[in-house]
Amino acid sequence: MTAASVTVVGASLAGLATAEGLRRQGFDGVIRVVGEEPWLPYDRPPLSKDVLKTGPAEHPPYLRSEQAFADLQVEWVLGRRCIALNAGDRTLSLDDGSVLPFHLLVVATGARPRRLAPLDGVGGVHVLRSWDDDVALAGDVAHASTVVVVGGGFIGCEVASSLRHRGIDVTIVEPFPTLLFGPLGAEIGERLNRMHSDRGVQLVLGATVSGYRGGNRVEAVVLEDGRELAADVVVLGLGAVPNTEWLQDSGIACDNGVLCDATGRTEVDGVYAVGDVARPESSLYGRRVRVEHWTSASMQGAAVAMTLLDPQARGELVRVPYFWSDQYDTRLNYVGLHERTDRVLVRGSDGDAWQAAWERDGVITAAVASGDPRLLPAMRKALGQPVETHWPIERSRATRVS
Amino acid sequence: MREVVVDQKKCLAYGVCMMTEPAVFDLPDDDDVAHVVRQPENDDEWANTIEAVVQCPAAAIAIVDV
Repeated sequence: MTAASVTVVGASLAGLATAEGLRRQGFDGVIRVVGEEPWLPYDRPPLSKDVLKTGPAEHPPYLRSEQAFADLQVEWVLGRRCIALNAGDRTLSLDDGSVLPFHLLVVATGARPRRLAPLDGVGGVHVLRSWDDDVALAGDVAHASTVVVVGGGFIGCEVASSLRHRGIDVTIVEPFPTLLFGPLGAEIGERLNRMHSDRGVQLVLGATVSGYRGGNRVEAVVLEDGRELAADVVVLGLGAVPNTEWLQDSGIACDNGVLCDATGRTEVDGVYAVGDVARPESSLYGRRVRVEHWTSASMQGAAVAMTLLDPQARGELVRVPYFWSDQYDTRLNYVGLHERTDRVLVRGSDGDAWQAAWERDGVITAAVASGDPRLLPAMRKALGQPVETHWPIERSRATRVS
Repeated sequence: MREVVVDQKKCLAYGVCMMTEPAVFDLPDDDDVAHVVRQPENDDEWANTIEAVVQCPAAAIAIVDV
């Protein structure tokens, strides 16, 4: 089957990667990309980093040059949200009342930040996912001296690091005993605790926010134990929820993401899902895996493009996950996928340079290194290998520019 | 003929390329940007190189006609 047209819902990285993958393979039909935000695809990682350090620019950090966007020959439908997928007549309903027919469809609607009910709609309380979020937050912190970050995950840690760069007093409130406790566990979390404490971040651990003090605008957050933390600005870093509500009556099964097979195929013929919103099967991990990493969005778009043009291609969406996180002057690189029950091995000084790996049944499942990207090839090679021969992770070779 | 190139002004040393195709890409000890150490030599290496193009967080890798 040769596709006459492909429609992508979601104009961020996964949607862009889908369009680029189609063109790379010579598809010359119509590609239509619908996006809720008014912007061409832009890069989200800088929003918690450079943009917060320096203040906002006039437009988001676009993922491609003007020329590269033009060369893609995509029909952009921006500033429009899809509110329903009608599988029967193969149309999309948009929030402006218009109806778009589709032939092949890719759902790439991403995820949105989780909010905290008691702080909903209160002035000075922010989430960080979109360019608009970033502009609002950057504008607000320009006049702030004290910021409370709720949630010690990646967004919380990166926001804290960027705000410390501007000399702002930062407190992180985290229900677990360490930062990044969920994704990386207590032992690595302790190192992150030290990294942030050393840079002057106040850590309030084992605590949850139950409310706030102030009128229309926050003056302090109130913790469950009654303590109050003064705050000119509050940033919520509580993780993300996949945007699947609009598919409710579509016949597509959703459960913490769009359920799809290993290639992204959903239950509706010719409809696929990729990126943060997708929860595909994985032969690599033997279960469903929803991954929210930048490189996954990018790879999944490229993979689904192959399947769209050749359903026999069987390109799996889930590859070995990789992510990075920039905090202060240090970058964390993580590769693999560990379970919380895997045993963690850590090596390195108490400073910012260290490495860790997880093992299950004597086999390495994931590795993370702080401050040394040159370890990445060896880290990736170590996955699936015995701990006895591959831990600690040594660089494969040392090279010099010739 | 096609050739893979790294734009070293864009490279931010994420290391994803050298992880994806270590035969082609490297972050040398004495430089803080990625280098192409040699061109891909077979279909597998080309497939991994294209994967590196897609996965580069800095969009610093391109395949060009020469």
